[in-house]
Amino acid sequence: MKRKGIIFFVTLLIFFITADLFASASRKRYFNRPQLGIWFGPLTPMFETGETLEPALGAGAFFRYNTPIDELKIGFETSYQDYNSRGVDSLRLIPAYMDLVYLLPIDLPVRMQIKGGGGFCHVYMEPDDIRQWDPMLSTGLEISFPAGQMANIALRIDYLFIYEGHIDGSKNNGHVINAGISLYLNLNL
Amino acid sequence: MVFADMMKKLKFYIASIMMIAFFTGCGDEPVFTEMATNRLTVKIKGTLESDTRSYFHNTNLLDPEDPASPLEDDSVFQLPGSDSNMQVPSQFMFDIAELRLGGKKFANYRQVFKFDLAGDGSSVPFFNGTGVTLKNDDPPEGRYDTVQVYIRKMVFDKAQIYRSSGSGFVWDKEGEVLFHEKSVNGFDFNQLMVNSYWDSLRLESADILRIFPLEVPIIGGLDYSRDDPETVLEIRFVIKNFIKKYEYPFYSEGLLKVSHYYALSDWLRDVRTGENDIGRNIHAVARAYVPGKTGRIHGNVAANNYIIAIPAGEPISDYVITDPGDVIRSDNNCDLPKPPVYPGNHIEAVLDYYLNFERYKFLWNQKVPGACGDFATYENQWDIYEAKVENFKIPPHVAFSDGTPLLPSTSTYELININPSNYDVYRIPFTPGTATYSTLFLSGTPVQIGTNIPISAGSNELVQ
Repeated sequence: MKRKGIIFFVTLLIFFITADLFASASRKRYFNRPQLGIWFGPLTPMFETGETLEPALGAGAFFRYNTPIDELKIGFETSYQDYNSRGVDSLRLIPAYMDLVYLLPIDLPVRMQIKGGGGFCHVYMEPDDIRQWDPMLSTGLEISFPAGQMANIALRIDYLFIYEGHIDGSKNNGHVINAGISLYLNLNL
Repeated sequence: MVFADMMKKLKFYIASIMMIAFFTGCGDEPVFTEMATNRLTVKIKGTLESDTRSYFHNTNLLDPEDPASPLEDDSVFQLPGSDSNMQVPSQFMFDIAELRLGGKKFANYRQVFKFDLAGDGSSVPFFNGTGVTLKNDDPPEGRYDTVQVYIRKMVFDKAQIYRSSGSGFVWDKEGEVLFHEKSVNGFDFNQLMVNSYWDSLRLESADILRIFPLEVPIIGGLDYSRDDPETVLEIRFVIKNFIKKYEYPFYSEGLLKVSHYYALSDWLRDVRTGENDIGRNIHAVARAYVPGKTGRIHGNVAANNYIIAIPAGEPISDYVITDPGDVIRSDNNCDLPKPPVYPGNHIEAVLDYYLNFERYKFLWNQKVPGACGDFATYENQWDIYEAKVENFKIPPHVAFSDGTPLLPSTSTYELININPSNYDVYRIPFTPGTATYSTLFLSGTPVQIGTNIPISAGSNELVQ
């Protein structure tokens, strides 16, 4: 509850700060630069993954670069996610994937982007000591608040799907939702 | 141009990730499925016998107020025999914190049990050969030779406290202990599981607990593989037929009180008068098997025999002891008395202390400098003692024969779920009844009835 409260308060605050800044045309230009960012927030295992793993906190980093289409960027994402279970098992995920980020053409002081991509996720399970790469897909939504020319603050939510269906004896796949607050910089490359 | 460069870099990154994934081996273990599946079944049993039939001496038939009863240990000293209000224990309470295999944690679930001791135990899975399942997360693949059981508490109920009335003892109240966050009648004897004549001499004696963890050998080992859909690890603790009454004296506001409680028998490591510790008298053994890949040994053996199967070639002397535990201890010339503990502050208690101290000096002078003249002798005597008792193991397979066939078969005993290997089979006759209550294998010597019996999956060997 406390965390929800804080997120709500920050959201509200940023809305008020940015409400009267309607110089969106120029800001959009800054926003269209290559971007480098980090995020931090709660990790929530979902569905059958949620039955064995406990929620945790995690952090990640990403880099985005422009494509010839203004609204579209191509990005690389990685993060560090360490989950415990109620028992002795624990799971560490390091997703590393590429995604396309599309800026929704909605004229608001905030930028809304949707993302989708795929790649590989490094999975390390203890105490069985299994370490391997699994293919994965991701999709997500991001709401950014420009904070000056250089930086943006964003709320993001991502769904990661870690696929293991191709492995013999597999019944479950991995499902994780990452939410987070991120800070990223508009780079002048 | 910049864009083209960046695209080149991105292509390089993608290629790198693909290469890393390729070289580290794209997964062949279903991790998320693995976390949700459980292939190892851990069963605990409270019997000496490994399988179906077991001999049970009904505890209700024993009189806890009779000093000659096998229920009462000979160490009971302040108030032997005629303590009023004493009843036979009716419940065994067991609190397990954690399980490890060869030091690797594989279950950290706290698991709490209360087992009914009344009657013949045939309706209690812990005592009738069925076993009780412990929750666990599977261990990593591999071979394990020991399982460590972290026991928080072991409690028998019906503990009673008596207080000194000057001329004797009168009943004070029921002994109480916290079990599973509730106050229950009983006594947690887990805390006394140290070797009294040994550990109590050490400076850190207050912190020693010999059975945290309780190291249980897995006879024949556990080969755990994820290829087997189920593997069973069965841990047996000898609790049934193995209970004795002990005494724990203490001072409460200067008043001498004794707590009479039940704990496991001191058959192996004898507990003497004045000793509060009852260490290392819990006997446990484990064995592992894969259901469907096991054999069976059966046969006709006369009534009142235990039949044991041990891995071929292992000495039978590891599974029996030559003399009763109290005889082995009496053979030790350096079994010196322990000094009484100074109770402090209350005149009656202090007077008691000086009285006990005189007794201590008297007992000490009987041994020193006579039979136990120097420290070298002391060390030597205790080494001899330890050599006689420390290697004792419970056989992995034990059956009991009462002479009647186990329907529908014609055999009077059977050992089931035997892991493929070669086994030696022995028969140990015993005399049923109170004389052998709380002892193991003492009224008979082992007779070998099968040598190097090969067991493979599905085999069914007749040994008699």
